[in-house]
Amino acid sequence: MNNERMRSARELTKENRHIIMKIEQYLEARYINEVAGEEILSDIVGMALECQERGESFADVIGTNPEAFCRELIKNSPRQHFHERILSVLHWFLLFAMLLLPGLYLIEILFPTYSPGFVKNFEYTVRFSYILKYYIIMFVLVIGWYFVRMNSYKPSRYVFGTYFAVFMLFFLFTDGLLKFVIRDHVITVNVLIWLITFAVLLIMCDLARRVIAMTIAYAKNKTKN
Amino acid sequence: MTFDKSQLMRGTLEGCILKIISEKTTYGYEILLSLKKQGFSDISEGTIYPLLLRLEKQGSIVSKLQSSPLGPKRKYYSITDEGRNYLSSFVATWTQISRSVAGIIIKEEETNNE
Repeated sequence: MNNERMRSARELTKENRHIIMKIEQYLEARYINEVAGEEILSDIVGMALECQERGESFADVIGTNPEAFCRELIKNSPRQHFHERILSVLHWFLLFAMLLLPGLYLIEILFPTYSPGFVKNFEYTVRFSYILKYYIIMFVLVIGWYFVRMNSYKPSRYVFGTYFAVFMLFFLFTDGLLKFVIRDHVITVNVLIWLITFAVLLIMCDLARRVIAMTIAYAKNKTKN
Repeated sequence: MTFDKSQLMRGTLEGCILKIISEKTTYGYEILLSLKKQGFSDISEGTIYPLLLRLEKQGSIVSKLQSSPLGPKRKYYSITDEGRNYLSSFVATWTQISRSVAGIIIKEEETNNE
């Protein structure tokens, strides 16, 4: 079904694709059940396509207040189970965690003079506080990612302004904190093993999320019939 | 200040949609056309889609994907037994309310005319 939606999404005009992308972001960040959310999106893509065929404006169909439209959709849809909700946040943490260390490793290889560690094959040796600092920053990034998506209908200047301010505050805070509080160690990590471990965790997390989402959607259908 | 129609429409529109579906299995845009024909002029598919979701969630209607000549598969809605019960209680309530409202408004107009 997902593939079919992607295929039809290619036939959408740029304007309509943008409208639907915003709806998608909003629904995802408001913890709508994954399966129900996909069904709604393919309905909406279908609606937009039929609008295009008839030569009508899809923006008019959604109305002047798309956020209110989304709220109506959410009100009338099954929400995510608590476990599904945790796993969908965990998904982003695992993804960022998986990519961050190899990212630092790449920076080390590309700009050895500016980075504090050193590299031998896939072994990356660096101060613990350096890694911790970037993980705290990542934590703020992931939360910010949700914040931006949840507010996709607020003026972006306000949303990104808040995001940037909070981000800078944390950046300075962690810098100060780590200099004075943490007793530092030097650690060595094998980047390859790191990547594989997190990839496996990520796949397990996504599978579990999918199973929970489908169980809820299935339970919904069962009560319906 | 003019009266806010959306408040009044919300509940009644749901009943009207259910009535249209009870007559025959149909899809979103066709429901919209029937409503427009009866004078609901300023509504769109965006207005009725959330209501369809709600009716489906409460078990009054079920949906089924069927292929259509235009674009992707189209969702057809049909009424359930539960939906029929819901519809008849809506019709009963609506009949009573509309009679009461009409009674008051017409009486007011008569006294104004005197």
